[in-house]
Order: sequence, then structure tokens, then C-alpha cells
Amino acid sequence: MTSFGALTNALTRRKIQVINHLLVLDIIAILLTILYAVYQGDLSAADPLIYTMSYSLVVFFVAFILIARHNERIFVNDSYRLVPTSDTGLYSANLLSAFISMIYLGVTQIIFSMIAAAMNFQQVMTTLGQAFEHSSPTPGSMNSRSEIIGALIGLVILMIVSTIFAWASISLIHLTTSALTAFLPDSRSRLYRFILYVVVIAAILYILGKIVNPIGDIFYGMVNDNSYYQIYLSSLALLVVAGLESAVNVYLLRNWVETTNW
Amino acid sequence: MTNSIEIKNLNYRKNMKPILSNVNLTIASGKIVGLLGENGAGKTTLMRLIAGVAKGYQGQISVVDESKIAAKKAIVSFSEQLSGFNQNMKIERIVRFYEDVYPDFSEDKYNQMAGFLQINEDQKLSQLSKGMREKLIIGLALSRRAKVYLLDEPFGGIDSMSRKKIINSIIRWKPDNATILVSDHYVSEIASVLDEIVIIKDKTVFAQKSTEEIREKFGEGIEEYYEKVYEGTELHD
Amino acid sequence: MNFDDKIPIYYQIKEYIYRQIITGKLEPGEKIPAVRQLAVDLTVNVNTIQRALSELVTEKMIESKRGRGNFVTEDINKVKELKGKLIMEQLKQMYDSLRKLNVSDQEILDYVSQYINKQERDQK
Repeated sequence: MTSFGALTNALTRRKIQVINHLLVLDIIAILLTILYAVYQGDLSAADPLIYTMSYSLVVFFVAFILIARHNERIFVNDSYRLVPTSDTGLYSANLLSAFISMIYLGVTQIIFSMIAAAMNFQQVMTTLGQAFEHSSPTPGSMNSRSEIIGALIGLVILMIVSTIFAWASISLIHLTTSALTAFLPDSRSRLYRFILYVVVIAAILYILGKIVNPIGDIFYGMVNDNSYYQIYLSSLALLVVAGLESAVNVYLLRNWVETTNW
Repeated sequence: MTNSIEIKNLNYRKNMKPILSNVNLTIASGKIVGLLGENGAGKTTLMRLIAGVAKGYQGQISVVDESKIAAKKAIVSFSEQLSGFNQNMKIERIVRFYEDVYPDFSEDKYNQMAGFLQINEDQKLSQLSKGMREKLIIGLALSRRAKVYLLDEPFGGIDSMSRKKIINSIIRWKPDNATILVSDHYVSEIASVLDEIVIIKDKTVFAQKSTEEIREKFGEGIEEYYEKVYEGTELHD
Repeated sequence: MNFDDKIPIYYQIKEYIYRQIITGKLEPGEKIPAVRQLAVDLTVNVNTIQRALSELVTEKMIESKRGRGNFVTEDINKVKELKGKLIMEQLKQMYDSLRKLNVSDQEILDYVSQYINKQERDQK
């Protein structure tokens, strides 16, 4: 049987290929924009960093979608479903590979930013330093240095968990629809499929809404309002829901979802 | 010796319609079995059920005594169509994927087959002709050291000489106790290699006979026998 | 090799090996190619070759020596016997066909002589 490590490795390799293609476009875009600004004669020292970070946002968003697409392909293609591993293993390795690829993307964006900032190093460090100095050293108020760092880290974690949650939700919608399509009477009608997707999405959003709030509420009362801990607890809540969704996903994979070789 | 494939009371529906009903099939190990039936009869479905990629069936399917799906996948090699890979992917990378992911994949065996099927590793999937693609598919499927090989219409787009080469490589490399299930339209060409045929008709196993028995008892060629059985003009036990 | 799909293949393989032995392509005591090699050469299933070989062993046309493979019998009489048997089989076929055409025994002998003489003349 295939080891979990080998499977994750293989899947990650596939996803990183996708990311690399995206990075090439990213670099080209950044360089072209810089060259254009040079051509226009109004390139300031801070600009490369600004361009890089702006494109980062786009790149992250596009990567999220491309990875989601790859995730879903795994579940409905013989090439992957024939691999000698449990469906639980396949799902986990897949999600892990998605996570690793996003971290890889994050690291490359940080490196790009550092390179872009290198042209302007002094000014960046000065700005950062000023931001820190303006924070007062009294804990308990939102302005203390450690609280800002804590909040920032919490924010990053929230973003990561949200991404995982989003992927799990997309899989849930896809797998539920796929299972239903195989089970219900066949219809080539596009309208039929469209309605099916809408119904499934609506049902899932409804159920999620019902679950997320109570879970969030459980955590809500645990800490006082003004603390940045709230962010961590929201992350935890989302992670729990993502876990539940994943359990359902694995169930669907094991018992219902066949390959359509899309 | 344990049977390679044992199927008991298999029922399978899709879109609320029965596709296979009451299938009972036992195949001893080491045999090369032809799976025959008209298009849509359920041959591919049966293979997919054995391979573990068709779900929601009733009944039992065990492969060399294994009934858990992951364990079955480890010993069954199915000729999959490579549709999970990007069209831009080079063959070399696809082979690498197979190496990474299938512990029983033999690089040596693959290289030998790729050599005489003349597969060019640098080409992208999209650049392959239909025949080339089928050669790659079967090359990959046969390079695994599996106990059961399921070849679903492996010769479709392949020219006559390559078909012969592939058939020869199957004979040359099949491990003694490995079983091969082949569904194909070129019955006559592979007839001399088949130990048995299984005919799928009316959503079930309509007949299962040894090829030599057909020749000996009925004095008929395999294709002839199959056609007669299908038309209902053959009286068989 | 092209086999007749209507006749059991193992039987046809036996015939093939008989021919090889009689024509001297496989000499008495010579080693027969490995089972798998034969299977590839003739494009048949390994099982079928094995069945043919095991019958040949039973008929004592072939000897199986453990660890070393299969060998043609060294008994020249057996080979002669085989040749005789096969010739008789061919003759039987010919005789039965000609009898169906109402050719008499004497006519058969006459025509056979004629035919052979013609063959000899044509070769000169």
C-alpha cells in the first residue's frame, strides 16, 4: 500500500507545479509594471514593494482557486482514486498537499517582497520601526507591542484556517452533488444539473450557518470582548467545522463518490 | 490455490437503474480471461467494481481473499485513461507519478515495454496519437507487479503490429499466478491467448467457458461461439 | 503462428512439435525451448503450452528432466513410430476423401504413382 508520505509528496508535487506556473506570471507582471513605471519616469523607491504586495493578493486568490480545482479533480479521477490507499488517506493527503502548496506560495511571496524591499530597505525598516515605537507598552489596551504581534499572528492563522475551511466546503458541495448525480435518475439537462448545484449549495450554506454560530458562541463567552484572543477562537471554531465537513467528505468518498474522469 | 476473483451476488445500480444483477463469478488464478459482451453490457462496470472505483454495490467482491478496498487496489492494476493528468504533462512525469505512488511499479519492466512500444518520454500527453496513448496506458498497467490485471479495451486505437507486440509482452511478462481480465472487440486476435471467456449479457454473467472446451466440444472458434450465444442460437449447458 | 480457432490449441501445438521432431528441427535428445519462450514464439498462453507438453511427456515423446528443462526423447524408435503414425493419419485423410469420390483402391495407387513420377520429372 502506498505510504501517506509518498502520496502527499506526489500530490504536493503536482500542486506546486501549478503554483510555479502562476509565479512565472507573477514575476512577469511585477517586472512589466516596474518597467512601465520606469518608462513613465515616475518610479519611486517604495513602488516595487507596493507592486509586489498588490500582485500577491491577486496571486493568492488565483492560487486558492487553482488548488481548489486540483483538489476536486483528485476525487473524481481514476488516476488518483486507483491509488492503493484508504479514502481517508487520500482526502487527508490531498488537503495537506494543498496546505503545503499555499505555504510554499506564502514563502515565495515573502521572498519576492524582501527582494522588492531591498531596493528601499532603509525606508521600510524605518516605517516598521516607527509603527512599533508608536505602540505604548501598557498591556490590556489594543496598542501594546506584544498585542499587535499577537493579533497579527492570529490574523495569519485565521486566514490559513479560513482557506482550509473554504476548501473543505467546496469539496463538500462538489462531493455531495457528485454523489447525488450518480444516485438520482440520469439527466443530460443542463438546467437539471444547475438546479441541483443551487439546491445543494443553498442547503449546505444553511446548515453551515446553523452550525458555525453555536460553535462560535461557545467560544465567545470564554474571553472578554476586547482581547485579540477572539481571533484565535474564531479560527478554532472554523477548524472544528472544517473537521466536521471533512468527516462528511470522507464518508461520501468511501461510499458514494465515483470517478467521472473530468 | 486461492481464486483470484470471487464475486457473489453482486448487484449494482446507477441513476436508479440496475446495471448488473446477481452476478456470480469465480476466476482461478493464473488465467487470461476474455470478458465479452456488447457495448454497454456492463463489462467496464464490472472491471471498475473489481478495481474499487465503482461504489454503492451490494454483494461481495474479493480479490485473492482481500475484501477491503484499499487492499484490493494494492493488488489490482486497472488500465486507466490518464484523464487525471494535465494535457501539458510530459510522459516522463506521469511515469514518475506512477513510480511514487505504486509500490509495486517496476521501473525496469516499464523501460523494457516503453522501449519496444517506442514510447517517447519527452512528449506531452496532448501530443500523443490515440494509438500512442493506448500503448502508454497498457505499458503503465502492465508495469505494476499486480495479482490481477484489468485491461479495458486496451487495443482500441492500436495498429496491428503494436497489438501483436503488446500481446507478446503480456505472454512474456505475465507472472504465473497473476490473472488478466481483458475486454476487447478483437476477439479473434486474442483468442489463442485466452484460457477462458466470460460473456456478459442481460446484466449478468451469461456464460463462462474454457476456450479449449469450446473448441473441443463445439468445434467452433471463440468469436463464432460468442456470437451464437449472444444471438441465442447456441445451446449450451 | 496462426492457429485454427476451431481446434483445441494444445492439440495444434502438439502437432507442431511432432513436425519439428520428425523433420529433424528438433533432434533426439535436444532441449526444447522454455515454456515461456514457446508461448511467446507461438503467441499462445503459457497454460496451453504446459498442457501440450505434459501430454507429450505422457506419450513419452518428451522427457522432463528436473531443473534442466524438457528434452526430446532419445529413443529413435519412438520417433520412427511417430512419423509412421502421422503419415498414416495423412494417408487416411487422403484415402477417405478419394473414396468419397468413388475412386477404387487400384485407381488410388495408379494416381499416386502418376503424381510422384510427375513430381520427379518436374524437378529435373
